Amino acid sequence: MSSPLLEVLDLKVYFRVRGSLFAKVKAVDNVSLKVFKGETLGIVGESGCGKTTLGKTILLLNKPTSGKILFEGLDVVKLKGRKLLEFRRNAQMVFQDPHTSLNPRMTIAETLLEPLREHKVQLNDYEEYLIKEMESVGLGSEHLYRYPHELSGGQKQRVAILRAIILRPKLIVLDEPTSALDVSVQAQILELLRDLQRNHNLTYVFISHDISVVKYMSNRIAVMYLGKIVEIGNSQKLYEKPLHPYSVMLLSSIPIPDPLVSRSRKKVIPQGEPPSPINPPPGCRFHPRCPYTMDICKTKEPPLTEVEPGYYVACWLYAHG
Amino acid sequence: MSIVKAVYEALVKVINFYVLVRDKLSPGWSTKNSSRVKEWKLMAYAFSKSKIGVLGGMIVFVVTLLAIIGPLLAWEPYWEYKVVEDPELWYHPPCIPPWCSGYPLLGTDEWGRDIISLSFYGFRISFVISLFVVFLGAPLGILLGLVAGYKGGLIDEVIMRLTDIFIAFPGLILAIAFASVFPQRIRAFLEANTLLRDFLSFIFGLRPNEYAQLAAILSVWVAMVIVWWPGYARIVRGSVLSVREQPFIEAAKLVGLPTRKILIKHVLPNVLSPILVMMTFDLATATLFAAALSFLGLGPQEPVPELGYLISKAGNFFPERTAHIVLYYGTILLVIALGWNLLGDALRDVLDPRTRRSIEFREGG
Amino acid sequence: MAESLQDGQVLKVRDLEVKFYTYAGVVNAVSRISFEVYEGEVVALVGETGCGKTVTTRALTRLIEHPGRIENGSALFKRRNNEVVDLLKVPEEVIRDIRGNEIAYVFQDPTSALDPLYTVGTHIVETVTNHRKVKAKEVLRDAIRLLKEVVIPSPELRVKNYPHELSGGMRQRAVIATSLSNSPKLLIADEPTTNLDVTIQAQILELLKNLQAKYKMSLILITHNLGIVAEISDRVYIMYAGKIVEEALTTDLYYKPLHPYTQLLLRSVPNPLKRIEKLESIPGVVPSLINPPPGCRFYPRCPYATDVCRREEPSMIEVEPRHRVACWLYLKR
Repeated sequence: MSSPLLEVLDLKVYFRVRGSLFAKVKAVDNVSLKVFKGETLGIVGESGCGKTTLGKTILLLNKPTSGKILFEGLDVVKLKGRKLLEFRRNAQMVFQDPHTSLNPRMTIAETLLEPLREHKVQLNDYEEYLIKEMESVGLGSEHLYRYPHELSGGQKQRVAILRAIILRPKLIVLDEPTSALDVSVQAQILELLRDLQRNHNLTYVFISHDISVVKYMSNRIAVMYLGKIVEIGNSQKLYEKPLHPYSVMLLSSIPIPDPLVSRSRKKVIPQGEPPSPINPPPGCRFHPRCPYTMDICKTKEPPLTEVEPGYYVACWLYAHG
Repeated sequence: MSIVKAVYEALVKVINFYVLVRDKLSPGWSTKNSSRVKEWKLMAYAFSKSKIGVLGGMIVFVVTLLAIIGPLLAWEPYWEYKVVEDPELWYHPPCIPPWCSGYPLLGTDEWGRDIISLSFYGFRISFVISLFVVFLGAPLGILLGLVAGYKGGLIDEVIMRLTDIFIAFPGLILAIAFASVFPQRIRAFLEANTLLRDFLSFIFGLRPNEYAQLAAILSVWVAMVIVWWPGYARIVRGSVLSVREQPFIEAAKLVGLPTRKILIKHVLPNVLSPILVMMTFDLATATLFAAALSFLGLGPQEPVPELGYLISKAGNFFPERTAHIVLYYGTILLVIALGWNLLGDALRDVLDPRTRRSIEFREGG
Repeated sequence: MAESLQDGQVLKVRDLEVKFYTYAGVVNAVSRISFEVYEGEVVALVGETGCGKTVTTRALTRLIEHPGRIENGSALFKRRNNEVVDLLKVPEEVIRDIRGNEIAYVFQDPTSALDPLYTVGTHIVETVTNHRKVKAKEVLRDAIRLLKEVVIPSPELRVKNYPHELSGGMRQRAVIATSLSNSPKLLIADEPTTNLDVTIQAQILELLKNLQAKYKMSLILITHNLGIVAEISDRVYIMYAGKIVEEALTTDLYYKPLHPYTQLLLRSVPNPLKRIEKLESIPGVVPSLINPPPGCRFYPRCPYATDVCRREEPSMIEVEPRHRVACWLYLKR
């Protein structure tokens, strides 16, 4: 594989809890990962596992507590001024809910012109350019001067995607881009994202709780649980033979759109609920819900170990401590 | 039903005319803003559906009109004391034609001035004070609220504690303190700046040589602005806190916009509608508050016909000789306040996109 | 009454029509739909946002709010005492007695379904005492049993908890417990797991399945997730743009979908067990329900559309036993 476009090293993002002096939410705790040029890295996990925080921190929307974020080898955490603007141009995001990610008081044209103006992109005819761009994401010119509320959810998400790619960035973080949309629209958006990736040579970080979608989109998948990556590797492998007990549980909870299969397959009905990230359990964070808990799991945190080239798991079943 | 239709059509005509003008000025404006215009028309419709809103709008329209042209309409200068010529005019009761003639319709005050003519000046003074208070207090509060809510942390803490102090400050006592300190200084200042003095007396519809009274009005006004802005700062901060968390603000940060632009382009437009509603209500409150201050003797004195002051003076012979004066000026204040409040109530529904969409549409649709 | 219920039917809806009168125009949210629910079965109502599935179920107990109006139709419901009533015509007191008692709802968002000022126990007590004359103390004992039933750990303590002290999954369990408190004949679950995590979703679905069997109630499940449908429903109605386009047993629907919309919908869901090269997506957008197109409403997006589809609306026909579809492909002309 080629060189990493983005490398995250020992990233920690802690939030102070309101009304408490010492309590902290460890939203992202010691996460390291690489994203290679042109690939899609999927990040899956349940709500509160820190996947969205991780995605936003990569784009410096949150301040990391410690750790490094290298973009093309350059640590971007402390960037300011022109350098920061340059990074912004290269790394963009598509948000989950298109109803709230577009300013309701701005027309589509105003929303799309904003990045062009801010980055001083010189064009002869902005309107003509925007119409061409709109067509590239499947929108007609008649939408240009509309307000977001006049567009359907899918159309709004197309606008949001266009806003993200209009400066031709290298990296795009997609934070649950289809989870607020209907299934038939979801398929359209996923296909659009794949087309754009091919045409513009984009690198994606695809965050979702829907493992079927992540699997369809990604080359590699990282599974997160309570602020930590518990398993990361090739998506096909992870899907066919998940190693971490949490990944197993997660995969068997997805409802399969096939009645005979879904009723006959062996299911692990998940036990319990994820604990609060304010006070995560000691040792392996999954141990209270894990069917294979051993003594060591309760006291010592399992390291992320390479079980196969490029395939890592953080579980004492596979590590030698 | 017909009123709904008439008001709606009148408003649509106004909107269409505006669109026509804008389109003439910059061709293509109407296509670029067709959605905006459509939304305006929906607002017009939602407004016309609200009967009390239409009533409030009419009252406000009339009040505003009277405030603007009132001093020109007034047939008696407020500084002429007719009682000197005709002692009968001293607190003359209402004089309604078939039974009585030769005297003003609704009676006179202690100087023999026609109270209707006098009230036209009062309209102007009340209107200008309330407008000034709200339109100076609100931007100050909005600005501080925006910064506090968006920046958070220490800045928020400092601004909000300052706001608390000013909210805790009793406006009445502040006004009393000001009334004893400010008027002389303002007066001296006005004497030095004749241009400003002429301008202000023109705005308030007074004679240019009314230094002392002008100074008293201004001191009331300053006291009110000082107690007025904190309400806005609080409300704006609250709305900013929720808007700040919206993804479109994060998207704007990702574009690389500086804080100033984010505040003006993305935050402000999304917190403005409740503020506009509040300002409308406040125009009523400010009118009454100013009247109350002058009622207590903190505002202008003779011969300025401030409504609150006129009522307080009428209190001397209440109710035997002055019931008509108190009733008349009281009703005026009531109607002004009612107009703004009704209008504000309707605006609240009109400016909220959700409620304005839920208004049932029957006529012609 | 012209129609009556057949054996085993709990609910029979005929020609239900709901319209919303808005500034933009009259929205035909639900256009003359008919369906029925049998005792003890799980019926799924599937469709995309705005297809009218929620409006349909809300119309059943007349929960349609301004500016919406129920324009037409009947909804025969067999009450506990075997009396058959038309839900759309009975007096307001009767419908209030049925709602929350014989027909209970579980909504998508458990947070807004619970009043933050009251404990979980109070919610259950309120729901019961609204419909029956019982002592609050007795109900509270019953509430603990119900919480145990929906697998809430240490129910004796949880009954005194306020909604904000519970997690999202626990809240939804509490909502389900509340809706079960009067042992309803019909439970309407409107996207009950949409706001929950997959692992929690699996738990809640398992729970609903068990409770439905135990209480012998009928369940109408509203969802857009075809995985969930495959998991627990017996029969499925597919809705598109305010109309029911297909009705089938769950297995028939998945293996022999008849309506082109159903076929495309099934192919646009990524099945994680299969290797997919390209997802099929349905071109175009859902038509506006203000002045919907004449003829078949799916016509503008349908790959098999012919001239007749544009002109005339297809009616429902039974193609195979218990498999009905509204499509000109199956109607002989």
